[in-house]
Amino acid sequence: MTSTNLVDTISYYLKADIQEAGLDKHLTIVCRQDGMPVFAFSTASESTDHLALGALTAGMWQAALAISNYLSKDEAEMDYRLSFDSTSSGIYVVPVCVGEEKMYLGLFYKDVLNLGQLKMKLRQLAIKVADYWNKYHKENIKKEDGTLFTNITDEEIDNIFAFSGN
Amino acid sequence: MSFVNYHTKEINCKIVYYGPGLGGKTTNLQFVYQKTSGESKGSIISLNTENERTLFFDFLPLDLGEIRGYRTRFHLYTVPGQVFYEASRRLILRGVDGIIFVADSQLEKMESNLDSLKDLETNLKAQGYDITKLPIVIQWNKRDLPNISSVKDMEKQLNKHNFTSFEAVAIKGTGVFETLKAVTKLVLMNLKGGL
Repeated sequence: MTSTNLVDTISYYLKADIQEAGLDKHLTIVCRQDGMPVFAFSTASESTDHLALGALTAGMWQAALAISNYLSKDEAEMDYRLSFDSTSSGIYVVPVCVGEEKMYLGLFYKDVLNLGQLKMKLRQLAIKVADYWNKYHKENIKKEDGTLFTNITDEEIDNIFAFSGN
Repeated sequence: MSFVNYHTKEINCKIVYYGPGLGGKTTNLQFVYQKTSGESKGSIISLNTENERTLFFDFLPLDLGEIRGYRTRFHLYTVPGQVFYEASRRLILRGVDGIIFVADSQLEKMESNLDSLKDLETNLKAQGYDITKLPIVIQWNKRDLPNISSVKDMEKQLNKHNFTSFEAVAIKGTGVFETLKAVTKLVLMNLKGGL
């Protein structure tokens, strides 16, 4: 599980950094290894399916990593970056080591003239994501052994599936 | 590896449909998609081959509304069933909270079912999961076809861990939501508090 105040805190700082770096008109996403997005931000008005992007970003990264293992098993995952781009638009993903987990920081961009600079800014942002995470991790995480829910009834399950007519 | 946001009171969980090729995993997901209202469903993502076999995964985010004050969202995935996509299956299992094993009831598919179940157990173990401790539900699919194994025989051969099981005809929707509801309940009951 990933904490939540932690995510909120990090989101607050990250948004400011993204705007300062001029990346805010593109879509920045942070997702976990299982594809769940924990952060997404863009000031562009286009609506985007963050859930699908998270699933695809994680899948894309893991597939590329699996392929890279055929080339070299010596290279560390953290040394890789993933690009899929034309001359002015594309996707750029870098891994971020956050606490004991790895996450992926992705940028979905278009109409960019200086791709090298853009990618450098994302790599710098990755360092900040890791820094924020490690800084706020201990303050926000407290583990408990109990389960969140006990004795969920069939009726409650039926209620959340009421939309299906079943 | 569920994601619980206590501040916004949101729960995100990952369910994977697993099973042999052509067993009906994608059909399950497509039926859920068809029956889900606009507000509850996201877009379905299918990474397919030219002949519509699953190449990497299908993905459907499902917003289930609130349970005990928590907005609950399930991320449904299917794996590619064909034997040679083992590497992809392993990747998709990462962070899984619950599994629906879709078994093909046809007599001649018993061996494929057994292979797929063994493959699931191996892949879970490789990622540190214990198959007996993970929420798993089995679906005996294609019960409308002739030449099928009896449920008793399938239980005996494929369900040694006594997982909850359901008969289904996924293409008609029979048993699809029953199976999903069962695994949903198990996953929610298994969610760890804290953080």
